[in-house]
Amino acid sequence: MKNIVLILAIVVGFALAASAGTISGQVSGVAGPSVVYVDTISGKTFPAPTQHPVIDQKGLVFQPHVTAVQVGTTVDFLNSDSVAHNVFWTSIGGNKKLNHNLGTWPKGDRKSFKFDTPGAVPILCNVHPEMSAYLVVVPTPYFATSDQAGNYKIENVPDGSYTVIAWHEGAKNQSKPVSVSGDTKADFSLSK
Amino acid sequence: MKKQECGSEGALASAPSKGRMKSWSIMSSSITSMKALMAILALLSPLAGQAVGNREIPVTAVKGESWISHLHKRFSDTSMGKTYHSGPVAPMPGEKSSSGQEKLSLDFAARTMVFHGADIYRLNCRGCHEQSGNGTPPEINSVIDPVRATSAEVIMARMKKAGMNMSRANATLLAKQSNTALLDRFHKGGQDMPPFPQLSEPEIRALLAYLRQLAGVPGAEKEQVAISESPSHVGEEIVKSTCHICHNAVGPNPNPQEILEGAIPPLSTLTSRTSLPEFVRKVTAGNPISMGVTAMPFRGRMPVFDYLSEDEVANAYLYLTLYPPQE
Repeated sequence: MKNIVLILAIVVGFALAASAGTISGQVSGVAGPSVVYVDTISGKTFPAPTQHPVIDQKGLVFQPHVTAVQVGTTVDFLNSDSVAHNVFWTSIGGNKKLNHNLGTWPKGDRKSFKFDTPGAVPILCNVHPEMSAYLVVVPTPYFATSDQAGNYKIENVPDGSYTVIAWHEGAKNQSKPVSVSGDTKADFSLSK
Repeated sequence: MKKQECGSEGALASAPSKGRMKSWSIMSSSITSMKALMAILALLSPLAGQAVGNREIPVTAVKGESWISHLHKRFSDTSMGKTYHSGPVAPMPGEKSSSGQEKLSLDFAARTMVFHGADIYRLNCRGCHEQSGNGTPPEINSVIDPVRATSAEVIMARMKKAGMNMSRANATLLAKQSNTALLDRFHKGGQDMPPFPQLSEPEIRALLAYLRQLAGVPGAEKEQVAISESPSHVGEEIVKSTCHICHNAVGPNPNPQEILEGAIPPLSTLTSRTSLPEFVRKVTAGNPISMGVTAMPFRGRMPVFDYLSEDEVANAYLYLTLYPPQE
């Protein structure tokens, strides 16, 4: 009996070790945060996350400037300033039909929106033209936002072959095939 | 309106030099007689106001603590109500005042003033937001962007420049939202900005038109309209929107030592602390104030509001006399 438990533990352990890889590397050629994500995997769908990431407006700045979410995620937009703010976008992934105006509201209130279409969303405030942020809606749960230097790490990616895409504000997306096997490296070089 | 103005002039036909005096210095000796004169003149003012009137809100006394007291800010730590950047330094005794404003009219208390949005801005907003509208960020925000956001034309031009063309319908919707937010700001104030319930709808409309001109909204120059203002309301605007930022409505009259230690005299004490001409000079050009145990004259900390005319400031004195500040 003990042996069976041990064997089971070893098998399960191997299975977990085999499935949980990472993709990490650096996005170069651009300054500031980039988003790196695994593109659509044919035949696979993922449940929408229940957590609501927050994009705040504080000190006349959107915080954070770049946010990545899985498709189907509801994002909460806050206003922590004592002045009125607005949130609108003119397109999602370049599709202008998906433009939306979330409204103009005072301090303390929050407005939520569920993003059901993948693509980059330029977030703007009509009251303060200098304010901008980006929301990147990605098709899989395998994504990461890089640090200021471009370093990123996507955790818990099952072993397999994928198309991995790097996005950066104002730059052309770069995609490359990546075979994930344990900890895998993938670097990107973008230009504006 | 013209007829009424003539009537006012006629009532004061006995006044010397075409109804105006070059200097009030000879009258400064008697505050009491001044107040009596003002009360008589003030009786005329509501009539003048009604003839061309658009006032929807009655003039009321200024009440409660100053706005900076409300915010628990110290006078030295805030830009609110300050105009050091634009105003001249207060002169010391013997120094000539730098006020270039028109001298006080004898019939100031009976003269309905014709204001534009620019004047509403000057009396109510400029003390904090500056002449330019830029304010002193981060404490005092610029008015420019929130006002530009109320124009569909400006929004469409901005989005076109950013390579994200926007339809007129969408831009109009955004503009309307921003307009509502701005009106809300005037009526309710914000965390750091006081509300302005003393401004009537016609005044708010005139102010908005001027703000749009100040913010460079195309065509806004053509939106400017004239409105008439009663003397006591002019005083009310100055006192509530500018003086009350730093001066509490009521409280003990500080002595020179307390002034030196930073006390700001309450509005209720000003008409007994100063004569009308002294008050006008203090506000428009600066006037030394007695400070310390030996009560030496100092420039004082009060900003010089050289953008207010002597008549306007005299109306503030009139208002404080007719509507004594309340708890």
